[in-house]
Amino acid sequence: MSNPESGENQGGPSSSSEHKEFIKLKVKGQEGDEIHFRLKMTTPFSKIKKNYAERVGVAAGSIRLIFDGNPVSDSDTPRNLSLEDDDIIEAFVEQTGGMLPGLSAC
Amino acid sequence: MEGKFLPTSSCFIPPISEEMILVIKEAFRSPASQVLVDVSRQAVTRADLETLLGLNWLNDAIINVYLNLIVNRSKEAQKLPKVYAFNTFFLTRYIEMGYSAVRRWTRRDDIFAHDILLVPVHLGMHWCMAIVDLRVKQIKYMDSMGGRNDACLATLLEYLSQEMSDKKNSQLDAGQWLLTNIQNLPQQQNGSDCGMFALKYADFAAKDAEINFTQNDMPYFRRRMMFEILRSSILPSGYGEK
Repeated sequence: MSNPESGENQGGPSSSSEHKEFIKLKVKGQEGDEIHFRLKMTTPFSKIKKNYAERVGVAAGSIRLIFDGNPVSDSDTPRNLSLEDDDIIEAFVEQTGGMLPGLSAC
Repeated sequence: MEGKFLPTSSCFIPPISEEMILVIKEAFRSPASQVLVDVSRQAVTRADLETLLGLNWLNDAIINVYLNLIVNRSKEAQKLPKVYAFNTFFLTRYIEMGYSAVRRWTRRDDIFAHDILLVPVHLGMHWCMAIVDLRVKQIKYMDSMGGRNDACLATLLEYLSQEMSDKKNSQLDAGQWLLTNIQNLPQQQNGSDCGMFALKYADFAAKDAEINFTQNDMPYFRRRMMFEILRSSILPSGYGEK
């Protein structure tokens, strides 16, 4: 996973024992595929979404991330969602529907 | 004579005002990926809002945000039924992966503490709505193309049974439940409006209102819905309400 590992290190007042700096997450796709990410607790999910979208070859705008049934927004971070190591983020692709005439409903 | 007394847009309040159009126009000046609103964690970008234009097909963000608005309306009005809405990805995930995959989706919610559960149904390129009425133990399937879906109804009953067993440690008596493919619903007359119909079925059902809109109302509903999403609140309407 490409992430900016530079920057704030231990020693800062924010890195108390209960607030670790990095987290390991899995992003699980609809086909059951899993991609592992190691990221900072303060990394916004927009970056994960973008990276995941590139890897699976889909536009980032059509990726939906969901944790425990709730949408994960671009500005969310592992910290503000209180995520823990090995938590699984589910990735879905945009759904759309209108129903073309001539096709019977399933 | 015919069609003269059809309940169409003429009896709606409020009409689309100049101010509403300005709000909508302003929103469309944003970049496509710009988040315009966020309702109960569901973000809507300009690109999402665009799916409400003309005869575009509605996407999941619009379905989810509008269902969230219906839920919020119910929380604010004591006289309305207590409503809970599932995400559009819920049913797909449950069908594909089983109960364990969605067990945590309701870990903060007691779905049985509500009157009505709204379950959006996505069938490849078609939106339908399933509505669980816990007050009378009925699951209704509503399709603007007139389709029946006994499998969906049975699947939802199975889910309710598993959820009750898991969260309430009690058994659901499936024999008491009525599963119904609702007939004689207003139907879409084009290849685009199933998402609108699905949302308006949910909207009306969530206030125990008679479902008496028609295809003719959809252009109005689309514009009104854009405004309602942008202001994060459903406009009061005398239509269909007692």
